[in-house]
Amino acid sequence: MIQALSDLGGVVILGGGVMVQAARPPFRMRNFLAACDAIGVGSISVVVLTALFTGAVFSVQTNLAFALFNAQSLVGAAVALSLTRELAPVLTGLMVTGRAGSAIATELGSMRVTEQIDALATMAVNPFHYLLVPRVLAALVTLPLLTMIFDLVGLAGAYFVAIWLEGISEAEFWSRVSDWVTLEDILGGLIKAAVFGLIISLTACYKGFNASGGAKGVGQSTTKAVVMSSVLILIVDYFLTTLMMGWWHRA
Amino acid sequence: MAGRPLIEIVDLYKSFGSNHVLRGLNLDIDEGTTVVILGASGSGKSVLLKHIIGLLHPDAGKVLVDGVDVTHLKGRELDELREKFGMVFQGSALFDSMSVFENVAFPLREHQKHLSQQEIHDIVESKLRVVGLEGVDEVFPAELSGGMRKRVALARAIAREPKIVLYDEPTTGLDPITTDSVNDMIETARKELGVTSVVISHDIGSALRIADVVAVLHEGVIVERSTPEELRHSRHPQVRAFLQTWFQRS
Repeated sequence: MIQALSDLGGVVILGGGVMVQAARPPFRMRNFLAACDAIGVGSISVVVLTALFTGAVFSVQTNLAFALFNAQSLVGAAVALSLTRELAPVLTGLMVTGRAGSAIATELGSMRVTEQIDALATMAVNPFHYLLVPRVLAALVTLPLLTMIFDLVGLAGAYFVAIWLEGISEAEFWSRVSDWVTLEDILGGLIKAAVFGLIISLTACYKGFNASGGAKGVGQSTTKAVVMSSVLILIVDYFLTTLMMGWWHRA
Repeated sequence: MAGRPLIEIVDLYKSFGSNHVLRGLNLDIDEGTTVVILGASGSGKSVLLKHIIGLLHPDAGKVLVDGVDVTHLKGRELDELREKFGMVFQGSALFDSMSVFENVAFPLREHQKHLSQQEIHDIVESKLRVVGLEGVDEVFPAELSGGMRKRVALARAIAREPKIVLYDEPTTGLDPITTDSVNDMIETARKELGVTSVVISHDIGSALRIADVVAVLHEGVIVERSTPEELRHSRHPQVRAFLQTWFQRS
């Protein structure tokens, strides 16, 4: 517990350091784009697959439940609301944690134990500015974009299952989606995704940056980064949902 | 060497928990000389080197470089001071995502943005020539031998023509022939560029060959500071023990 709190404090302090460095020129566009490629583009396939089957299975389950009340027309709306508010940002966050968060922790951990990070510092290049800022900004930008992809592909998955396999009509499926899903639902999900982007990148950077003890230490740091990030995403999601409920209900 | 030493280490203390690594260490390093700091594994050599370049902060004491106390510097002031330094790490610490050329060009691209691509290319080529490496520009560090990586690391360290080059165990883990070539490289860098070299090592053979001054670190303090010739006749028990193991081996 004390270790967890200490790690949390470390992540917050590191986040402060990254914010200070992010404000300082130059903006490292090349590093930023490379990080966007690694975190964002590299995660598209896993996000698409996850979204497709999550939407599909959710369609099956909601159809099963709503058929009891002869309310299949609500399947599309229920799936769309669940996706935009919760499933898309959370599952995107978990997928990116597994794929890109672990890669960041491993890369930085390897750089730490092979003294490449010290080498940067001795060349009067701030490692936060060179290594961390581009990765954190890239995660902040790409997570909402990946979540949008998740929203669209997830809904497509639900649509195909509902129309082709469950026999729901197109009109029934779409009828309530536009009534129920508002811009606030989508924006809320995207804000969550941006927060999860910060959690993933800062946690991975913190664990990687503080790795020690050779290859074994790097492996342990990566594992800890993935576990910490995943748990934080689920905990923070609850509090963000609670905060956003008022906003969503008003809409 | 007249005048003030280029590097003055004054009463330096550093502990990690209950492990007291440096215990009031004093050492002067004159400009243009090669000083080898000898010590057993775990004696605190790397810790000392990291204090000189401001990677670690002491519990007490001072490290003066050109009269400026490194231990109180932060941020841009520390970066400015670090521009006087080049450092060759034990494992070379080359950026493995970059080619040899990009590694050597890195400090130039970071700090001398006015340089054209051609100028950067010329500087990189000239530094690689100094360390005896040509035709490996596009090779990645993983494809190089340990000795070649050390050479690239030195080329990167001297790219911006620093006054001081720090070497962290430059010959550790190398075979005798490669060790010789790395020693040649250190001597060449000194002759051609006139740099002050601080080498930490437990390799007595290399120390006796390249050093103007050898300083022996034991239990957190410098117990002997002498020329290689004087060191051979030292009466300090720790130095004698060190020398004996080396003479027995060779």
